[in-house]
Amino acid sequence: MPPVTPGNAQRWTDALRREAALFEPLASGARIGVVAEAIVAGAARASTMLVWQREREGMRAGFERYDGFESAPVDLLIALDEAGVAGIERAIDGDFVRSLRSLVRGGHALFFARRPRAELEESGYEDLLDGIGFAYLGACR
Amino acid sequence: MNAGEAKLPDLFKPGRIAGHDTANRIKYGACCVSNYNERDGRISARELARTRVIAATGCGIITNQGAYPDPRGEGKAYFRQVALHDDRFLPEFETIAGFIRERGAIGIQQILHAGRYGGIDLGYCIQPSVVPQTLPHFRPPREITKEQIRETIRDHAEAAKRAIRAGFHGTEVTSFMGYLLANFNSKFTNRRTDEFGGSLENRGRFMRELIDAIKQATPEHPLVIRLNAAELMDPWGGNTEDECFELMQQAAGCGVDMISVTVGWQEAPESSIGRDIPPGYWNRLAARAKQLLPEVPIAFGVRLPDPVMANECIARGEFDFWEVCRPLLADPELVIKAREDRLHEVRRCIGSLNCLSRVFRDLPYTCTMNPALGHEVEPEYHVRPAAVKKKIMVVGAGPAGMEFAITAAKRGHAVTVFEKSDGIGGNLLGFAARDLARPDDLMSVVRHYEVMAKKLAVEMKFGIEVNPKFMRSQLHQYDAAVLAVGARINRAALRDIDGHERLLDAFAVAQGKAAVGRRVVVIGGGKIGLTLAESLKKGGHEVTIVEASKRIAGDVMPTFKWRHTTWIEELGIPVLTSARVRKVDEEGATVADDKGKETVVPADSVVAAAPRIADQALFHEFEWMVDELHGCGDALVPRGLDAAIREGYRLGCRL
Repeated sequence: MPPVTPGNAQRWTDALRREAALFEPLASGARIGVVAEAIVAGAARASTMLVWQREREGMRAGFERYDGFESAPVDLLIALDEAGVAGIERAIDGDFVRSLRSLVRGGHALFFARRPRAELEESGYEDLLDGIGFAYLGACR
Repeated sequence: MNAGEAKLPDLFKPGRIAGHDTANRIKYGACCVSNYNERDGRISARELARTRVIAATGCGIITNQGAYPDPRGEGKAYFRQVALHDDRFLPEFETIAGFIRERGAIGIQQILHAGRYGGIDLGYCIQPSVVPQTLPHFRPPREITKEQIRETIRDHAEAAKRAIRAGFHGTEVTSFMGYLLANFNSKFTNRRTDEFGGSLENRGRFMRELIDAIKQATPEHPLVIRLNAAELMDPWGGNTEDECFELMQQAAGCGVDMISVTVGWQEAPESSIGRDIPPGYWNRLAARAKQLLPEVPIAFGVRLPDPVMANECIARGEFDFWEVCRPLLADPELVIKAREDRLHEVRRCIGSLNCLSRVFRDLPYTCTMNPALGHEVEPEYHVRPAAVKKKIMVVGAGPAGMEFAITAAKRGHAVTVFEKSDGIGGNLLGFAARDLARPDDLMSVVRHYEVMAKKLAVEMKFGIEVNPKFMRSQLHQYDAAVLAVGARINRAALRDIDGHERLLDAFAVAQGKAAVGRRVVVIGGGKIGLTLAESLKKGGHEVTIVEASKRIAGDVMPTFKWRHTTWIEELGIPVLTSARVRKVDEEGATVADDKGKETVVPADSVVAAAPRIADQALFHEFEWMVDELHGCGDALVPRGLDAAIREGYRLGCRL
């Protein structure tokens, strides 16, 4: 159950590079995974994960095997429900950050932090977390 | 019977919990920890002074804030949370239990192992399974072993025994918000395959063993359990409402003496207690619990700040005890005022969540509406008769000026407030009415000042512009003057804009003194600009926000930032960040981005909502006209409601 259609790596790379300002502060090697919620909920273990990786020349997208969030080699894992998957696929050639932000707010996307906040901030995630609305979540609201 | 008791007979009728009579049906809830204590878990003098006030609130049951039970600190969630894992902590707990007993209330000590949100000093947390945090400020998880489960249950039982030895009548464990008990109960965080995971029966095993251990350790004493009726995590694999209620049945089957029904997890994507949730929104969950478990006392108070509504719910049999905390932070005399039929004098909780915003930044909690909260130990915050009674003039009837006026009047000063408009409220008035969350909450601040000014005989003089000429006519009539004239838009800082004379003032627009066209550009994405832009958009205008910094909502309370950003997106208001208005003409606003690229945003009106500047001219002009000259609120530094009330109060206590 891939989060987005495999084979779209180049389109995702293009999408990420359109948002260069948001991803620019990330340290080289920073990695964000995207998976379908059903996998996170335990319905399926092994699957495919879309990975957004910061490389020296900019962001690059690819697909990797996903074996559960305990071992996912990413800093942040974004889990999308069905509406989330559809929403982000629709936005791949448009404003996907805005779309992702709206999915977070609508409860269609959940983030799992694989590293503590201080480490994420050291790796340049502050603008990104803020940009997608992640920083505003939390506390009993 | 007091007049208020006659009006709210079900709220003030006696209750009973596990053989203990309660004076009424009001339970002071342990809504969140105060962060007033020592880093090692010892209770501070500051906390003791605060709990003396809590004990005097008039509640029939008083729950003392959650103490973590384990010496390792895995259960410790908050920076200055109290501990109950050793006898050395007992003396202060004894003092608190004594305060509660002195007032004739039933004292309950909450034991709070934070599980997924714990381990603040350790760099890790424990939970049933390794489910990474969805909120990065919490620590990475470790899976709790069976041996650690047994040890943790023993820690809880020992802590419960200690609480009883300290003099509390009973204890409470909490499955609220995603703490350890909730982590076991929920399939979101419990993915174990042993006898503590899997089926609902297995997931509830930790809870049942915990209840059993505490009951065995303190058999004669009430045990309350806080349980979610809705986690709001079900879209992410958490428990459904039905499962939550099945867990309640399990707890009842183990003999708990009261169930406190709660709603939501920290990580839930939807809000549960903020100002945008209508009071009474979650009452149906309490009613369902009561229907399911008619023999078990049910306590409830999630987003239920109104004693009248609580009385009606109890009368209808929806729950047995009104569990209340935040409204009592805002006004510790709420219950007393309700009893004496003085509800119109209550300072309402306005749901700004200042308290939680601070706790999650490891700061002691404070309250926008109650500037004395957390400072009870300091005489400087007490309202005591003034040694010298003075005649004081206050300039400005906004929150800072009015807070000062009523505080000073309580101390015996003769206070006259001069206000250029025709009513109380100042700049708050225009923005309260435009608040998308719940205007009535912010308007309650204005109404409170109107009631208290009348009660305390504060003389109000409206329609008077206080200037040097007026001041000369008042020479030697006042001993002191307090300038609480607020802030204004700094037009001088906008003079570089070509056509700046066309700019409208955000305060004038908010108060309806300046009209805007259909298409509006708002300069400034802080709380003033955002509130104005949102209400204009809702009123049918096309609005664009231009903000000089990288992000909007920089001056907004952390727990409200996401609301504004959500509203802005939902309303479809374009936001240009890192941008400045260069020119305003009949076409609209010419906006330059951080690289200097210019775009024309068509607009009929351009409104300046930033930057603000303190209105300080009168400080210089009045210096030689009155014995004492003081200032407070935005007239010193532009900030907002919280600072205005705090400073007005502080000055009122001091003068």
